Parts: sequence; structure tokens; C-alpha cells
Amino acid sequence: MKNLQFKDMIRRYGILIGFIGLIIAFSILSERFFTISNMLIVMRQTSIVAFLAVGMSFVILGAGIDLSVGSVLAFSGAVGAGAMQNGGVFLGVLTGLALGTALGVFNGIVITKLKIPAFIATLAMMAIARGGTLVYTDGRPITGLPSSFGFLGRGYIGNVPFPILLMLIIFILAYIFLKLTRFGRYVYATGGNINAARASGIKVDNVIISTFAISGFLSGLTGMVLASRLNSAQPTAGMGYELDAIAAVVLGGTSLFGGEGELWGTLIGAFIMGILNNGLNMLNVSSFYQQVVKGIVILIAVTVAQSGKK
Amino acid sequence: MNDLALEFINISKSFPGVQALKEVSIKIKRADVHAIVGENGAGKSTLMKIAVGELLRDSGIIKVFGQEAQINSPSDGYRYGISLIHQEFSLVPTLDVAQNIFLGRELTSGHLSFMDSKLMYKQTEEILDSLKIFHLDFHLKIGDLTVAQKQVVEIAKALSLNSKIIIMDEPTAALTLEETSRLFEVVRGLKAKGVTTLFISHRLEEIFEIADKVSILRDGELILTKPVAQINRNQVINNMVGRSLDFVFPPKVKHKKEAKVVLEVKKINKERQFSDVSFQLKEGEILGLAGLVGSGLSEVALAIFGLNRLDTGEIYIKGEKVDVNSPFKAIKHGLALLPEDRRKLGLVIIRSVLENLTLPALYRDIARKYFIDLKRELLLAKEAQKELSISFASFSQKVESLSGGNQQKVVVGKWLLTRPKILIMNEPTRGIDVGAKLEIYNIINTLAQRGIGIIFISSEFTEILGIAHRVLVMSEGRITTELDPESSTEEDILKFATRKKVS
Repeated sequence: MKNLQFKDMIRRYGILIGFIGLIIAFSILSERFFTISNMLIVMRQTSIVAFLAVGMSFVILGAGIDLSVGSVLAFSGAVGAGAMQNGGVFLGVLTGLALGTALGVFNGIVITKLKIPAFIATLAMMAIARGGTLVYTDGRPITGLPSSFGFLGRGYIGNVPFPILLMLIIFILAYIFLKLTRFGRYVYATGGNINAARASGIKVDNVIISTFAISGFLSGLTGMVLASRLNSAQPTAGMGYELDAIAAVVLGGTSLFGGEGELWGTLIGAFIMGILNNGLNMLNVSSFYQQVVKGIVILIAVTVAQSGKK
Repeated sequence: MNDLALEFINISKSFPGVQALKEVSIKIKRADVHAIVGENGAGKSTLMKIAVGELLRDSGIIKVFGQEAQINSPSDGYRYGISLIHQEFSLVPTLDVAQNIFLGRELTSGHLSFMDSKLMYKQTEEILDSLKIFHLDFHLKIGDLTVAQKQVVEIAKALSLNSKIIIMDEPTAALTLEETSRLFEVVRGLKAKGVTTLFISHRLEEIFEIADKVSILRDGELILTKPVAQINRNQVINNMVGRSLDFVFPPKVKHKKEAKVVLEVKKINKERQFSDVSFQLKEGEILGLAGLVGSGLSEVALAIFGLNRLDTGEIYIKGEKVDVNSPFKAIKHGLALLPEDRRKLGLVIIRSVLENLTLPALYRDIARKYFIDLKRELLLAKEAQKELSISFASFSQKVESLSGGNQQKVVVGKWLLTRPKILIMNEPTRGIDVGAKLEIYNIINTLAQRGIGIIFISSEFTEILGIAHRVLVMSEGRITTELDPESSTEEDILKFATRKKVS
């Protein structure tokens, strides 16, 4: 019985323990790591993955997967930046968000109405949106954005970078959505057992489309934040980000089968990815090795989480 | 040689918060059919899993053919010649019969050890022949087989493993009467071969038909082991529930003939499923729909609830024609469906009791606009829990950890919270124990008294006769007769349930 409780603890809080362990390890290895300025940098870096991972959480809790977030991010960022050159910051951001959301809705419709598996549908969208970005930008960065747009990615409120605050706001809103609204329950139920959910009167297609819309919206938002940070929309922005987002969700303990998982886990998962990037940089680990380390960390984390399950 | 096939000596097992087995000792004679009965949660399945090593006992000794056995992992069970056939099969639907039987220990030939399909099919044929009763094409994929046929495949697999002791966990739960009797012939054949069978069932009649001995478990303790010849049905029930159950069926509530019609189904058709089905359901009426598996009853139920599109036909609710093309609309019209397979359609088993209970009611009742009124949710859930006396440790407990009876009550509860006018119950007592069955019957009566029209679908004809005010029998997608349960017998129903289509 004691053993079982221990395992349950590991399953539930293992990721938190790993997270703290990681911070302690990097703090020992590098004295520049655990400083306020560096922590703010970590959080700002993390915010990018966190936006995507929050959207990905909705999708995965609903038993889906969204491989298109990196491409949708780039496409929304580019088109939003383009609109901004002529129509101003407000219109530009709105365009980016709208395009991201629209592409998400499109994903959802393809999955629910054409009954194409999410993996395939979003893989196709990954190619379409990336291609669309290249066509739209002609393969060149879009520059010359209004200086006021820089606030989104580079601005500060007090001493805190704005993206960090935005991350907190998004997280709180997502949490409220998931835990306190009908829709959140429906996401869990649909992901847990789509047939039983439908038979309970839930319009499961709408639920699934909504989760992809949220993922698309947040991809669009990430695209705008990234464009603001770089002061340009890059056609290659967000390459491979879908994997970081999925990794964050999985690290956070969410089941890839859907219906089980918590948002705070995703946030910690995103932070682990961010801390790894930052800490390994500080230790001057080459970016080639960083990839290897990240992969191994994911394997270890998921192994620990699963061993707690049985 | 020892004539005991299997001996449990002081087996104990506890789970967090529950003592599942308390020093249980049972001796099982070679070539006996030994029935293990008890209410849900009595510890039957736990004991059986311990016997094959799927669960680890906390203490106690297991002896197999007189020798103390070290059964500590699932492969140990096989090593000692013990096979457990689960309620949920462990077969791969996309492989055929022979491939399933030899899964993981495929026969090979030649130096390169390629699979020898010919030899596997040959051996499969031999095993199936030895089971005679069921004609089974071993090239068929498991997914295309009936439940009864899958059962036989599991038995064949056990035999191919040279199992001397076969444990069947509720093998007849999903079988028709005829399939059950054929399965019993298989069991008798096994007995003749010297195979020992442990048999878990909720259907007491079956125990008296097939078993030599019966062991009764209650709350993890062995109450008694007796030869079946020395005990009667009521004694078994009394010992199972620890209280006296004079009537298996509670007295029927009166139903007024002049009650208003709540549901009328007019000539509904669906190709290859059912045709020209028409009936009326009145307020407070319990309408029994009887039929064997494959009669089309389940499909009719799904169609009324909007989960199965009709080809033609009309449905009226309270005299108003409705087009129910989704459960969402069905619920809006006051319909509720307790599905045949609660794990598939009734519950999100990985979610909590609370979330399952309130899922359908969130939309119209518990959530104001978009936000869930958490206080109201808990209040309603508690009401449902109290009314149906659902037992669980906490509302945040996952439904999958509840017993079958309590899971079923959660399904009933979730529909009660939507305040339905019409409740369709498809096999509501399948796979639940006697005590819980009685509770479900009482619930049905209470709901009928409250004016809810109830469609009670069952392939257990005794319960249809014991519960319903009126019985319609269906066979091959058509309603073949209407019977008055007061003046009809199981045989009457069976006659009409097996009637072939007259063209």
C-alpha cells in the first residue's frame, strides 16, 4: 500500500520534482543561472512554447494532435506582418490572430466532417501553411514593422517582459476555460470517450473544432509575438515548434489518448523545455548535443510517469 | 495422486482502503465444475486473478494438484496449467482464429524458423473439433465473430496451452439462452476430459444447471462451499447478500391504462436492421422489449435516441412529431438512453464519478450560460447518489474503479439529473450481481411511479416478465407479438423471439 502511494506521488508530482531538480542542477553548474535576470529570460523564452503548448493541451485532451502549429505560426505571423505594413498594428495583429484561428477551424472541420485522422489532417496543414508562408513572403523576411508593434514581444511592464504577463494571462484564461466552463468538461469527456460524450448530448464535432480553433488562435498569437520580438516575420519561423509543444504537454503528464491531464503540468513541461535550452546554453553545450539531451529528457520523464501508472 | 486440482489456503489481499479477500480457503476437486458466486465486490474476480498471477496475493498459499505453486506473475498461471478467460476478451480483432490461438507462440518450421501456418491451422482444427459443439471457421477474423464464438476461441486457446484448470469469469453474461446451453455442453465436454472449470456467474439458474459445487463469497470472505445438490436457490441468495430475499422481483407498480401516450413510434425502418416497428409508450408504463441478441432491439433503441439514422418512419413525443437526429435533440425532447454497453456508450470511465453524473445535465441545468455552477453540480450529484444509493469513496474517484452495479447506477443517475420523460434501458442488469439487480428493479419501479415512461430491453426473459407491464417480442428486426406478462411464460417469449420471418 505504501508502495502504491509512493508510485502515485511519483506519477502526480514526478514532473514537479524533476523540474525543481533541473533548476537545482543548473544552479550548481552555473552561477549565472539562478538569477532574476536570467529567470526572466527563461520565462520569456518559455512563453513561446507555452502559448503553443496550452493550445496543444486542449487538442490532446480532446484526443487529437496538432502538427501544424509551427507552420500556422509562421503563416499568421507573415500575413499579419504584411497587413500591418499597410493597415497598422491593430489590423495586423487582428489579421494574424484571425488567420491562425481560421486555419485551426479548418483543421477541425477536416477532422470531424471529412473524418480524416488529426495526425494526417494537421500534417497536411503543416505543409500547406508552410508553403503558404513561403509563397506569401517569397521566401524573404517581412520587415519594416511599426515600432509600436515591438511592445508585444519586447516590451516591459515594470521590470517584467510583456510576453511573460501574456503567458500568465493565457494560462489563467485557459485554466478557467478548462475547469470552470461546460466546454472544458466537454473537452475532457470527448477525449475520454467520444461515443459516450456524444450519447450524453454533447456536440462532439463542435468540441473538437473548438479545440483546434484554440490551438490555431494561440499559434497565430505566437506568430505575432515572435514577429514582434524579431522585428520581422521570418518565413522559417516556428520550424519544429510543434514537437516542443507536444513534448511540453506530454512532459506535463497529459495522456496522448486524450481525456486525462492538467494544464499546470503543461506549463511546467514548457518550463522544463525552456530551462533545458537556457541552461545548456549557459554550460556551452553545442546546439547539436542539446537536441540529444532534450530527447533523452523526454524519454526519461515519460518513462517515470508511466512506471508510476502501473 | 491428489484429487484436488486447485487449493486456496488463507488467501488475503487488500487494495488501498479495502480488504478484498480475507483468509479465503477453497478446495477445488479435479474435473469438477466449481461455481464461485457473490455480489459485485465480493472478491470473486480478485481471487481468480490471484489464481493465475494477474494479481499478487498479500498472503496465503495456492496449491496446484497438491503441490505448493509459486504464482507471482501472469506467465506463472500458464506454467501451472491455469487459464483465466476474462469478461473482456484478450483477443486481437484483426487476426483470425488460429492466429489468435497461437499468438505469441507461433509454430515454426525449418532452419529459418518461418511460421508454419499449415500446422497452426491443423492444430486449431483439432482443438475446435474436440469442442465439437460450435462450428467455427478458423480463418475468420475475431472481429467478425459473435461473443459466444469469441468465448469458444478463448477456451480453445486455453486448451492449446494444455490448461488443466480453466477459469471463466461470467462467460454467459453476453450470451443468448441457446448459446449458453451450447457453452455448457463444451464445459461438460471439458469435464469429461478431466479439465477442471471454475465458473463465475451472476445467473443462479446456470449454476444449478452446470456446477458440481458452489462457493459463496461475501465481502471478501468465504461464506460456504457446498455441493450444488445440497443447497437451493434461495439459500444461495441469502448467503450472497447476507439478508433474506424472498422475492427476486419487487411487486409491480400499478399502471393506469388511461395514462397519456408519451412516445409513439410509427413504422420505423432501417435496412438490414429492423422493419415496420411501431409501438406506443404511456406515462409511467414499463414496456418490455424482449428479443435475442441480433433481434434488432438495440438498433431500435439507438434510432429512437438519435444515434442511428432511420430510413423511413415517424416518431412522436407527446403527440408531436419529432426529428431526432442526434442525442442532443433526443435529450431536449426528454429522452434518455441507458446503453447496452455502459463502458462504450454510457460512461467516460477514465473521468470522475462527479463528471460522469452531471455530464448531460450541464447543458440545460447546471451550467449558467457557459460557467459551471460547481455548488449546484455537487448538490445535484449528491441527490442522485442518495436516491440511488450509489456507493463510492469520493466524487473525484474514477468511474472505472467502481463495481459494475455502481457504474450502472451512475449511468441511471446521470439521466435522472436530466429529468427525462422517457427512459430507454437496454440490458440494464447485464453483468451485475443479484443484490444490485434488485436495486435496479426497484429504481425502475420508482421512476415509473413518477410518471416516466420506460422501455425495458432485455434478453433475460424472466426479468422482462417480472418487471414489465406489457411485453413486445422482436425477432429478426420485426415485432412478432405482444404479450401480457401476467399470463405468459419464458417459453412463450422464446417462441416468438425465435420466429423466423414469414414472407
